[in-house]
Amino acid sequence: MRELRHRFKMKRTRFVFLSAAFGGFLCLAGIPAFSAEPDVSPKTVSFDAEKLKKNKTGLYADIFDQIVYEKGAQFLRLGDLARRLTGKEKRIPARDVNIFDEVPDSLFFTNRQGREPLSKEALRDGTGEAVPAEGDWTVIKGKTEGVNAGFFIKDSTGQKFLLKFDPIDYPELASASESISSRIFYAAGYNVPSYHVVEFPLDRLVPAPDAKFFDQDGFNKPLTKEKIAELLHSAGKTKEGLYRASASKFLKGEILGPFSLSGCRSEDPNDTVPHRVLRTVRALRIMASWVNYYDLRMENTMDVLEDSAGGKVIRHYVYDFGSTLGSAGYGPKPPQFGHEYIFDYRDIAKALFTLGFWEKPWQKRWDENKRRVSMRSAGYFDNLYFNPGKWKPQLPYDAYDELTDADGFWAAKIILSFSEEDLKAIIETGKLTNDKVREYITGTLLERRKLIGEYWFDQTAPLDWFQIETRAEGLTVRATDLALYYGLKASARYRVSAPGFEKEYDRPEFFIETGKPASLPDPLILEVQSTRSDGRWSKKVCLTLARRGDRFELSKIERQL
Amino acid sequence: MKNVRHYHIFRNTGFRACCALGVCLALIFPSYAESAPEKLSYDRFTPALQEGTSGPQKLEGKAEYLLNHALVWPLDIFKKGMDETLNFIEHHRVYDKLDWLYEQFKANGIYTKPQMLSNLRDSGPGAEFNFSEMARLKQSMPHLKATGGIGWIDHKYFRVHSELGVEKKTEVGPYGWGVFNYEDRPREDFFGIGPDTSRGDGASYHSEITTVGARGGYSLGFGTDFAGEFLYENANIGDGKKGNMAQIGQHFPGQVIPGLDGADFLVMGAELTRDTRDFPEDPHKGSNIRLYGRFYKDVGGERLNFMKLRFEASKYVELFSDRQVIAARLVGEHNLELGNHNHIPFFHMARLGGNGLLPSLGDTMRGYVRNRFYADSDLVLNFEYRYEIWHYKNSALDAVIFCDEGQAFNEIGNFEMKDFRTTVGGGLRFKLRRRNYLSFETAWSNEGFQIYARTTAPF
Repeated sequence: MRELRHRFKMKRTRFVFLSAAFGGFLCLAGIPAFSAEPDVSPKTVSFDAEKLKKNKTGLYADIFDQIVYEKGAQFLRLGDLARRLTGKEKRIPARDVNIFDEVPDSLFFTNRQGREPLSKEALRDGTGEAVPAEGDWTVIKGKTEGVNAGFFIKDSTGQKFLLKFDPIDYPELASASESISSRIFYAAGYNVPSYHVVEFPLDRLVPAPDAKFFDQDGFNKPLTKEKIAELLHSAGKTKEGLYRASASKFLKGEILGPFSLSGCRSEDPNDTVPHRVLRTVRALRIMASWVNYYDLRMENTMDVLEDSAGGKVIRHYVYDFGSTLGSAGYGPKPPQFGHEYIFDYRDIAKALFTLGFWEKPWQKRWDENKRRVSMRSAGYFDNLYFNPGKWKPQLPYDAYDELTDADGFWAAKIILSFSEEDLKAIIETGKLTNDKVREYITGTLLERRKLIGEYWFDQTAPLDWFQIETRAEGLTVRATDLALYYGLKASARYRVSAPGFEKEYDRPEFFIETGKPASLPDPLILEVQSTRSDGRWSKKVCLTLARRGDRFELSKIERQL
Repeated sequence: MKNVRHYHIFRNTGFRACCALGVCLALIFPSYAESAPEKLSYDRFTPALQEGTSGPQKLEGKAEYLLNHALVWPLDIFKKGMDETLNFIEHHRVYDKLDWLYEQFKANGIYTKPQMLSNLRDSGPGAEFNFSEMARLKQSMPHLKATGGIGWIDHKYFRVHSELGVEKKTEVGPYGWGVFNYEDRPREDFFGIGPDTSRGDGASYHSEITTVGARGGYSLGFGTDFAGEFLYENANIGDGKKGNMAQIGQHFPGQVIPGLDGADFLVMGAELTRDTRDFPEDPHKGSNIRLYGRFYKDVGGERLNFMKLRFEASKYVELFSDRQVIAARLVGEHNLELGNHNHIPFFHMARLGGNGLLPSLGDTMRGYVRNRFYADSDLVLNFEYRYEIWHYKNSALDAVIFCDEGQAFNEIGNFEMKDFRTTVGGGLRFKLRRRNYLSFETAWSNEGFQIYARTTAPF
C-alpha cells in the first residue's frame, strides 16, 4: 500500500513538473497562436521608456536573417513544408482590415489620399514640417550609416536634422528622390519623417566642438571645418556653387529602433498582431514597386515613442527614401534591383541550370539601355520589363511574400488615386532643375502607376464603392469598376451569384430581381466576379447585405484571397 | 439677352433632337464608367474589423505551431548571436578597419597570399614581401626589385623565396634579378611512371629542392617577353611522411625510379611569353602563351642530364556577352634524355592530375588526384565554359563547366589518341573586383571524383 502511495506521489510530482515545464516552454516561446485581439484604434499607454526594447539591425544582419537563416529555416518548419509539398499553402487574410475591406487608421497608417484626394498644397507640404532655419547649422556628428556624405545638424532654433548629399556625378539624384518618394508614401498614408531639398553655402556648416565622424578607414575621428570641406568634395553642388542636400527633421519622441516586418512588439498593447499579416506592412511591397524603393527593409523602418492625448503611443515609421526612383543613394540604382533579391536563389538556380543562356530581365534591360544612365539626375529608372507582380525589393520578407490579391487591390487603389497633377505637384518638391528630368520621372511614375493598376486590378474583381438600393421588386447593387474608372480597361462583364440566383451583366449595376425583398434571406451574400483581361472570371468579391427594417444595407465586403 | 439666345438655340435644334443627342451621349459614355463615385452610405474606413480578425484568431493550430517551430527554436539562439555579431561588425565598421589594415600592410610591402594545394584542408598562410617598399626605396629606386615570400601548409608544403635585381617598369626594356628558392614537400604522392599505373600502387616521397641563380630578360612590348635563366638546383629526395602510404624507396626499387637519391643540376633555360589577357585573374578576352626550354646538367654524376620543353597556350573568348566566357588551354611537355644511359629524374617528369597551380604542381586533370601520372611527356587540353549566375555591384558569382583531356606518355611514338583520359566537372567561383576569391569545384573521372576549394582558377 505504501509502495502504491509512494508511486502515486512520484507520478503526481512528475506530472506537476512536466506540466510546469511544458507551460513554461509555451510561455517562453510566446506562441502567437493565442495572440490577443487585434485592435487598430490606438490606445495611449503610460510606457516606461527605459524598459522598452530598442531593436537593432543593419544591412548585414538583415541579409543574414532573410537570405541565409529564413531560407534555411523554411526547411525545418515542418508544417509549412508539408503544406508546400502537398500544394496546400494557406493564404492568411490581413488582420488590420475592416468590414469593408479597407484599412482603418492606425499607428501604422492614416488614410489620406485614399480617403479623399489631397490638395496640391497638402501633397507638396507632406508632413508639414519646416526646413532648417537660416543661420549657422551646427554639425553634431557625421552620418554613420550609408555610403554617401551626411551630417546630423542642429539649426539656429535648436531643431535637429539629418543632411544627406547627392553624389557629385549625379547631381539632384538622391535628394530629389528622397523628397518625392517620401511625399508619395506620406500621402498614401504611411508615417514618414519630413524631407526637404535644401541648398546652402559651405560656411553655414559649423562643427560642434565634440563632433565626430567615421572616416573611410572605419575610425571615429573629430569632425573639423576642414574635414567637412574634404568630405563634401564628393558631394553634388548647384550651378550657383551651393551644396544641395535632403534635410530630414528628427522625429519627436524616443526612437526605439526598427520594427519587425514579421512579428510584433510584445510590450506594446497597440501592437498585438504579427506584422506579416498586416495589410499596411504587406502592401509596402506594392508602394515600393511604384517608386522603386528596393531598399525597403527592416533597417529602414522605425518605432517612435510619441506623446499622445496624455499618454504615449508607439508609432511606426518608414524612412530613408534616398534609394528610390532611379537612385541608390550613392549613384544610380544597380540594374538588378527591383528584379531580383540581393542574393536570389531562384534566379541563380535558373541561371545555373540554363548554363547562362537565360538572359535575366534586368540584364536584357541593362543591355538594351547600352549599360548607361542617360539622365544623371534621374538615375536608372524606367519601366522596361517592369512587372508589378514580380517586382522584388532587395531582401525577401514573409510579409511581402504573403501579400494577397486583396491586399494588392487595396494598395493599387491608393496608387491609382494619385492623378497626373498630384504627381506633378509632388515632383516639384524635388527641385529638379532640368525640365526633361522632371517630365521623365512624371511619365515613368504615371506609366508605372498604370501598369500596377492593370496588374493588381486584374487579380481580383476591381469593384468598389458599392451602393445598395432596395426596390419593391428586388435589389439594385451599383459598383464602380475601378479598371474602367481609371481607363485601364474598355469594358468588362460581371457575374453575380447568390443562393438560387446567378446572372451576368454588362455593367457594374446588378439588379437582383426577387419579386419581393422580404423573400430574400438575411443576410444575403452576393458573390461578384468580373472578366479579367484574358477573358476568364476573376476571383470573387463577396458582399454581405443585412436587412435593416425594409431595406438591405451593405454590412461586409470580403475579397477572395 | 443671354436667355433669349439660349431659347433660340433650343427652339432651332428642336427638343427631340436634343433628347436624341442626350440618349446617344449617355450610351456612348456610360456615366458609371467615368463619373466620380457618389457619396457612399457607409463609412468605408470604420474601425470595425472583419469578424474573423476581431476575436482571438489562430494563425496556426497548436500542432502546426509546434511542427513549425520545434526545430527552429534552437537555431534562433544562433541567429541572435549572428545578428549581434553582424550588427557589431557593421556599426563599428570592422570591415573598413580590416580593409585599412590590409592597405597598411600593402603600403609597407606585405601582401597576404594564402597557400592551397587542392582544398581548404590543404591550405595554409602565406605572404609576399616587397622589401623596397618596406625600406621606403620605391621613390628613390623605382626599378629595384627586392622581393620575397613565404608559404606554409601544415605537414605538406613549405616555401621561401626571394629575388633581388632590377624589375621592368616600362612596356619595353630589360630586367633581371638573382633568385633564391627553397621548397619542401614532405608528402608527395607517386604512383609509378607511365600512363598505365594504378592508383592503388601509391607511395609517398619527400622532396626538398633548393634553387639559386639568376633570371633576366627583355620586354618587347605588346605583352611579349623574352627571358633566360641560369640556376643551380639541389634536389634531396627521401621517404615521404604520409602515414597511410608506402615509402617510395620500399615500394619502387631504386634502379627503376631515376632520381630517387636526389640530384644536383646546373639549369639553363630560355622562355618566351606573350600575355594579352584583359584581366590576368579573370580573363574574358585575349590569350596567354608561354614557351620554354630548360637544359638540366647533372653535376652530381648521376647521369640525369635532360632537356625540358614545355608549351602552354590559353585563349579566352566571350561567347554571346561578357557574362559567358569560353576558356581553353593547351599544355604540352616533353622531357628528353641527353646522351646514352641518361635518365629523366622522376621528380622533374611531366606530371598530370589535380587542379594545377602553386609552383610546379601537376598539370590540370581535375578528376584525378594530384600528380597522379608521371611520364616523360604529357599533353593536356583544358576547356572551360564560365558563365555569370549572380552579380552585385563589383562582386559576382560564376559557374564553370569544364572538361580536361590529357595523357602522360613516355615515348612520342607511343602517343595515341585513344589513350586520352577525360575528366568532367563543374564549380562555382566567387569574384570581387574581377579577382577570384574563392572557388569550389568538383570533377569526375574513371577513378572517382575530386573536390577542390581554391582561391584561384587554374588558368
